[in-house]
Amino acid sequence: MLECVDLTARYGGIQALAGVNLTVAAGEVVCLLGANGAGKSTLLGAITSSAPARIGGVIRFQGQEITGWSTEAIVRAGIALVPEGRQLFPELTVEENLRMGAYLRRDRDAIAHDLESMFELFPRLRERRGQIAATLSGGEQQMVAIGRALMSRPKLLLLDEPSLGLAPLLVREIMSLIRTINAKGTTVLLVEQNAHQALQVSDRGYVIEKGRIVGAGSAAQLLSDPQIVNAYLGGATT
Amino acid sequence: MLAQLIVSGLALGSVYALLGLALVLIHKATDIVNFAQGEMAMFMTFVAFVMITQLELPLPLVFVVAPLLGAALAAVTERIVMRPISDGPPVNALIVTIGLWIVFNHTAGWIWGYDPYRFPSLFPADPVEIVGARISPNSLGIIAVALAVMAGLYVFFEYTREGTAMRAASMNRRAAQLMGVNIKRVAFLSWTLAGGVGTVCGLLVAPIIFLDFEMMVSVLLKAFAGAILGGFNSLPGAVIGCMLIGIAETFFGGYVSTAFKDTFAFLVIVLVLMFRPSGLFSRTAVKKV
Ligand SMILES: Nc1ncnc2c1ncn2[C@@H]1O[C@H](COP(=O)(O)OP(=O)(O)OP(=O)(O)O)[C@@H](O)[C@H]1O
Ligand SMILES: [Mg+2]
Repeated sequence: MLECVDLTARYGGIQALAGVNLTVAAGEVVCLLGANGAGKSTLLGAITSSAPARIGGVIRFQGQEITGWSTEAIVRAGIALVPEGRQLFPELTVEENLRMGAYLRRDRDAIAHDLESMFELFPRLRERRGQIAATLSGGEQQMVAIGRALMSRPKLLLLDEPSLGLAPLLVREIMSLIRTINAKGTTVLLVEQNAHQALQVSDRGYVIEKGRIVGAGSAAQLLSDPQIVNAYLGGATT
Repeated sequence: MLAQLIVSGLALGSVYALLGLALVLIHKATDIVNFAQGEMAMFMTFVAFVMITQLELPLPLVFVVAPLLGAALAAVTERIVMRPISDGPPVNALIVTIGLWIVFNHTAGWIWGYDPYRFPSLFPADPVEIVGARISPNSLGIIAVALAVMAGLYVFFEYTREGTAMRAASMNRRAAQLMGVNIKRVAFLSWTLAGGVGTVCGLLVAPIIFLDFEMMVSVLLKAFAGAILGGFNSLPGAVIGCMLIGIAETFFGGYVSTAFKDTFAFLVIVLVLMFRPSGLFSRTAVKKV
């Protein structure tokens, strides 16, 4: 479904991605693991044409080359990003934030229906639908961010560190939610530092370091490879 | 005297508020302060004057057509002048809008000369008695037109998909882009709206202060003062700020002196920037997420 071939990205003199090859097949949950500054967000930014970086290489989505497309065209094609740090519209209400996710859609009735299913997926948001996003808790904000991305009915959902800053219980909730979303037919590329949690819900994983892919395999392989666990997944199991 | 002063203060404030809204509309969308906003309104008011005197169009029709043309002028200006430099540093765009000020100002002077003209008002000038106070229907008319424009803007921003997207983009540009919002289009729409709203301001103010090539300079100064009072990033803030300026100016003129009206506005700008740079009404700790 998604294919990145020899992807490079530069911010001025900084090489953030140095030839990344990565694929995600339809129906999969794939995670991308790596330390701070490894280039994870840049990769998602490159895919969505929303990083202020110079991009090289080829990105294909459903067989079509989307390199250099506008973000608008990419969203229309069926990719949605839940950005790092949520990036909600702070002074819009929960409902307005969710509806913004459906900005490119014109099917009013289906949008209303999807809004309803978001409130079923996140019951805590229903009672807060008129509340300003800035006043939500971190966990609720993350739910709005995920719901907002889902409102575009993406075929591929990109998540950038959704567990960041959340309590362990909420992290588990978000991770199981990713499985739910996937089970409903959305392909997922999950960026995480929380390696063990991420691998538990993923089919496959990649490990990125300094802009290069340094490890790849099935979730089980990565979890049991002591070298990878020690070098990139922080050693101790949580 | 008091009711009279309040009404004329609100009328003056309404005029400032329209231009203040135009300034804030563009600033919210693009982070650019359009210094040419007043001159574009002046230019369009001259165009309206031509429609009235030479084409002999009825005044109410001119009040509809001129703002639409003003919107079109702003739209074209955004496309051919502002968009090409929109990826550069904001200071470039700022300097370009100062250039636009000069261009519109000189072009108007070159076409229509430097003499003031009497501009017809949509409303009768003779005061009417309302509960003991002598109120000018012109003031009431100005307030009504301004309120109608504001109501239109309110409905657009609160209840339409495009309006909500524009609000969203002003809160978090990158996130709006990730929703598929075209940021360049948001800038274009903001200029277009501002061009229309600014023209209404010109049409309302011209009958009070005469139409000439410099008529908007002091209006722009007051609109700035009002918008800055309101924090320069809030449409309701700009309206309230400009109303306060209008009322303060009228009372100041009514009770003290008319000679320092413009100085007064400038004083407000300086004081606000010194002591409340985010405006009188800003909630603290509202930061961009
Ligand atoms: N806007 C930018 N301008 C300049 N350099 C940037 C910019 N964004 C990222 N970088 C640099 O690119 C490299 C990769 O950053 P990136 O944000 O992709 O890392 P990351 O893996 O997402 O890290 P984190 O886990 O901290 O989010 C870093 O060296 C970073 O400093
Ligand atoms: Mg990141």
